[in-house]
Amino acid sequence: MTASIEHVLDILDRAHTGRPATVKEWGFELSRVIAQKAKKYGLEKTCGRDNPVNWDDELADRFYQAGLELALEMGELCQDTERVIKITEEDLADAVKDAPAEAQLGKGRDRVVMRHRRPEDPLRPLSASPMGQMVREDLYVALHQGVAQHREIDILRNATPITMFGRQVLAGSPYETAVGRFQARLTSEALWRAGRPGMPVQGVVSSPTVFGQLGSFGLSGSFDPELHYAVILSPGELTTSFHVLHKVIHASNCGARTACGFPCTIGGFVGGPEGAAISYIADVHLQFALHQTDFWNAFICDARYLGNGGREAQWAQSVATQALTRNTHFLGIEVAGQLGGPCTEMLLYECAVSMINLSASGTSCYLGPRTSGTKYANHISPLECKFCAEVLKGAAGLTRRQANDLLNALIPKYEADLYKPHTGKGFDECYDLATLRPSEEWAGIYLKVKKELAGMGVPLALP
Amino acid sequence: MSKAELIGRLATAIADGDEETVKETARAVLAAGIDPLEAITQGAVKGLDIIGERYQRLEAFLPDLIRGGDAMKACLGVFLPHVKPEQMQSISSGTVVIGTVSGDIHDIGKNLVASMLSVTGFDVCDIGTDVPVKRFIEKAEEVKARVIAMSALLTYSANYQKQVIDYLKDRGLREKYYVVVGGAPVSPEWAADIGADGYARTAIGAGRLMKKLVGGGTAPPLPQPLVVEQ
Repeated sequence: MTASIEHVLDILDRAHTGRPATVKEWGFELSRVIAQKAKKYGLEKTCGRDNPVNWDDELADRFYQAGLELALEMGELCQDTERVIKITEEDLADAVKDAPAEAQLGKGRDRVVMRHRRPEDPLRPLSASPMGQMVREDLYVALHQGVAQHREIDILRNATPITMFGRQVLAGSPYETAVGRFQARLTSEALWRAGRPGMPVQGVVSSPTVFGQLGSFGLSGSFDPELHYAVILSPGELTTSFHVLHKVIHASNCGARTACGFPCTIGGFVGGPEGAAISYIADVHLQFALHQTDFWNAFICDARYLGNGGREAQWAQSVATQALTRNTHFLGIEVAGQLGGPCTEMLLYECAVSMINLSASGTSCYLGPRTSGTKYANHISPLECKFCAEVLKGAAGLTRRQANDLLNALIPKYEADLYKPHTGKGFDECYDLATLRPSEEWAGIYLKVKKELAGMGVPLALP
Repeated sequence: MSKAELIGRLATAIADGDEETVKETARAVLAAGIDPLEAITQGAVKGLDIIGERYQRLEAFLPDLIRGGDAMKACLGVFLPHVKPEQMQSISSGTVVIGTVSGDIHDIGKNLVASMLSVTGFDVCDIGTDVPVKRFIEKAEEVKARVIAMSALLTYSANYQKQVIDYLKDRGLREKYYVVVGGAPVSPEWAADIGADGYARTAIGAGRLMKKLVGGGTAPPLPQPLVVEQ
């Protein structure tokens, strides 16, 4: 599904004629309306630290209604015009009806089908890796080749090359226009080397403004709208911008599908875990209703430690995902915010927690991991990407109560370290770059944690 | 109302972001002949600490931080005309110019840090998102800032943090300002590479960092950045 240009222009008209609100006013209003919805639906203080995975369907459905009402009542703020884009019930109903319930991605042997899932669904979700981490230019192809060589991983989502021909790239400058294509060429090389030329790619990651996408998507020899889809990220909760709308229009012009994302931050204007879940549900609907996305692409982050491995964020993610997967047929590409780095047990435990939770809550596709909080250059390796895919798919069909028990056993293994995470090693430190195999140390950690998970009841194939 | 009760009331009103009660109580403090410096340090600052603790326990959020910062400003508005000039330095930590760098329109992290700095006693000048390099410096000069703080969510926008520092150097202004950086792709190593004076991983950490930096007695630029991870 590509966005209809008439629809996008209508949204743009609303962005120029809606009621005015500054970003600060919008934040306070959002906070107030979320609190009203939480009260109306009896959602206050429902977050259970002892139960990081929700299994109460009725509670998930109440969150859904609250989120739906929030989307209708608030709409979205356009950051550039500082006006509110309202949506109607009809907009929302059309968005829910028209959104795809499945999508074919890639081609040939690498073609995959993303399907809607529900909580506790035995259907195996898709896995997309790595994710946006900064990687040295000379390691870029090897890293992506290493990821793509694992067939458990269905979709490639690029890392960000730190430099382009040795030059620093500046957002919004002509360097950005050039780097999108640069990234597409390197990705293509990596997929060829891995023997997966038809693997779908989520691009353009290196596009803070619209220029990276303009310079690469839909151009000959670059990201192909038939195979790949465009990622478009909004700047704030229930907020859009001209850059976002530029990208939506450009993707529509190319005939490309899109994955629209947004931030959702516990501790920010949305409040605590309950408010974050309500806001998440609302924002997902707005991505479909306003940006006509094919997939939503987001996660709930805890501002206190800038990840989501903690109990409150896991719970909020579980209830929000379940609300959406129970009440819509939307396709979600959901992220997890790990803080540990490669070659640490912490990273694998964090990954396991999010994979089990997301899989049991009904996500269609996982995107990540965000190793070391995407903070440390080169701190991403293929092995944790493979591990995520294995656990995500292995956990399909677990009940939410089983998932909850597993999370309660796993979270204590790292929660004390969320504020001082183990950043681990870089790709070039924990991999043999000639053979693209992990070091003995890293392979040993991987096997140890995997055996431990299998022993706890996660269905995983062991060597 | 006793002195202890008035100071306690001030702390509570600041923590609750109740500007009217703050102003009323501050005026009552002055009328009772209580030293305004004592009321600020024992009452108002205590109130700000309470907000920080509530935030960490998920009992207070960004709107509460903003209200607390505004309440503190209202409090100082009443007290400052009555504070002796030699006491001023112990009250104000100085002015921070903060913004998200060019090419980046994300503001959640920047807003959290700006609010946390307000409740840590800094005068915060928030110049928004997608801020061009020169704008940071022009604003810092205009408001006589001590600190320039830059946020970035994306790798290619973080590169502008270096551009700002390089521009300060090229204009011969680097010695005038502490420069601190933060954001998702920003690490202590990056802060060191680009010659920043400080890095904090979280909003609460940013408050601690700034206090250490301006209270440390070492003039900018620092040979190595101060790093606050928690």
